[in-house]
Amino acid sequence: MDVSETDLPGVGKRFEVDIGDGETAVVLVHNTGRRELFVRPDPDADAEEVLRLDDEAARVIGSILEGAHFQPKATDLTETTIGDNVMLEWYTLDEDAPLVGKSLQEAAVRNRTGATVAAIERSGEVIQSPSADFSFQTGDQLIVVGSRENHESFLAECT
Amino acid sequence: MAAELLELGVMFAVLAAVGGLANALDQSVIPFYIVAGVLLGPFVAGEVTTDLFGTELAVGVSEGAASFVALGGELGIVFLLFFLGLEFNLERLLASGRRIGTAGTIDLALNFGAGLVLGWLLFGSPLPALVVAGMVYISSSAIITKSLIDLGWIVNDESDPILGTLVYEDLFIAVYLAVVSALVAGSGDLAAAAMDVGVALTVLAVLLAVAHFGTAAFQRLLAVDSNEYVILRVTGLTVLLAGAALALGVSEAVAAFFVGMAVSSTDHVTDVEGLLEPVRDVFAAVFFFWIGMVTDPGLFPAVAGLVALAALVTTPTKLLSGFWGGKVYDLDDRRATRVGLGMVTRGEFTLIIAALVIGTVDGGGVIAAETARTLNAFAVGYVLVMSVLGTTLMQYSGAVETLVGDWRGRHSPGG
Repeated sequence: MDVSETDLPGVGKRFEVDIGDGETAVVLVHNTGRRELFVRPDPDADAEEVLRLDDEAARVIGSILEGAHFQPKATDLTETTIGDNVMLEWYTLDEDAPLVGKSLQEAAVRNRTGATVAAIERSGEVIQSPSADFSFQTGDQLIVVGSRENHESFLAECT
Repeated sequence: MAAELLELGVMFAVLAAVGGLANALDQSVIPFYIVAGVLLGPFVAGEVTTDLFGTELAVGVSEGAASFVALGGELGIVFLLFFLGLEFNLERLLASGRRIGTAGTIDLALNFGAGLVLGWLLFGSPLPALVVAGMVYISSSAIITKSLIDLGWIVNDESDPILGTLVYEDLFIAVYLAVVSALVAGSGDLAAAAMDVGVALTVLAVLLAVAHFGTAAFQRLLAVDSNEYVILRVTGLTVLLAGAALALGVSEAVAAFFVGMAVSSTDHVTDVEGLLEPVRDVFAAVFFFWIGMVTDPGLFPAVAGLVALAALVTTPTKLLSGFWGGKVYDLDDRRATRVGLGMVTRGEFTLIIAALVIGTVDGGGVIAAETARTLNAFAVGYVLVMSVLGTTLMQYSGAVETLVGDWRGRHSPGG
């Protein structure tokens, strides 16, 4: 794809990208970090301003357009709610987690916490519906289903 | 001290207020700052005093504060030219040389030429003619660039010849200021003048060499983590070299331009631009205020005819040279018309030349004091007219484009 770049002394840089059907997208990058997006409907027309963004907003929108945007949560818990109260959460077992070295039966996760270990991801492989003799190891990623209370006791007792 | 501080407070408050007014009216701030300077200067408000808290105070800027304003204005010139150098890129100019060269030379020949003729007819002497030529030739980078952004023209093809021609003008003014400042401060003797110009051009060459070979030294100087140190080092370097140049009888503005060029080839150019822009804006406002302050509005009626004549002659020459320059860039009639409209605005450089001339009044320069004051009043009046006219023409370009389209339609073969 053809991208043309023009220096604008005292202003910044201008990039033009042919987006098909005779339309051109024009990106104006100011020296101040401000970005402006224009569209020129046909080669003879004046470009019309579409967006005016500060540096940070431009980066976020740019990475979304690029398909690279991923915003990790602040904690290492990722939660998804099913229905009103049931949640799916991911936990990673570190080496001093109480579960490490125990089997699913020994750990008695459901009896103690009410939460259910639905699946385990280990070294890139997913173990679904683990059997009673399944043994936990450091680094296992657990996908756990339960209510908020269940998750709280799981977090306290098992990780 | 209290009285002077209060006066400076009034000055900055008025600058802030008229700046806001200019913005609300979609006009450039420059003519507003100048008018504020005229009104608060010694010729208008300086004559009036008021009784405040039992102390008699001048409403305008008194002599004590005026010396600060004059120095601040001088810093404004230094920073304006420093930024010009910062944004100037010799490689870029050489790379797209042919078109910029052609469009820029057309612009120079038509407008500088018209100015020379006009100046000669009005003043009958070569040096004032040269001054008038410079004043009417140089368009305002500051106002035009802002209008280009405000109107969105910056993303269209017409911005290339406009910005290209402005770069050509910038380079020309660096040489022009060096030569003319040597001439106006000289003795008037032809041999001495040649000598002064020779010294100025030698210093210019030395500065160019420093700018070119000093990059590594500047790079090290600016490699500090603290914003405060960067600002202080750049300011220290620029003002010190500008002051040293002026002490040697060379234009301080040109020295600042080359310091800017030297900094522009370091990695710190973006930081320096971001950090010093507010400093430049403050002192540039003070400069425009100062040039208004030293202008006697009583001279305006006498120069009104000159200003009107210059506007009548040099608006069409810029329109024509701009249109022609647009054609050099293969633009259609509509966009070429915009190039012409865009180049009409004159501003800061015309005033910097005026400052150069008025600066010689006390020192007894080649130009007679009376002529110098007339030239200054002319420049101020001319900028007031051309900045508002140029900005307005750009805003209403649609109507002019239609006119040109109709005219070309009727006069083109088969049209």
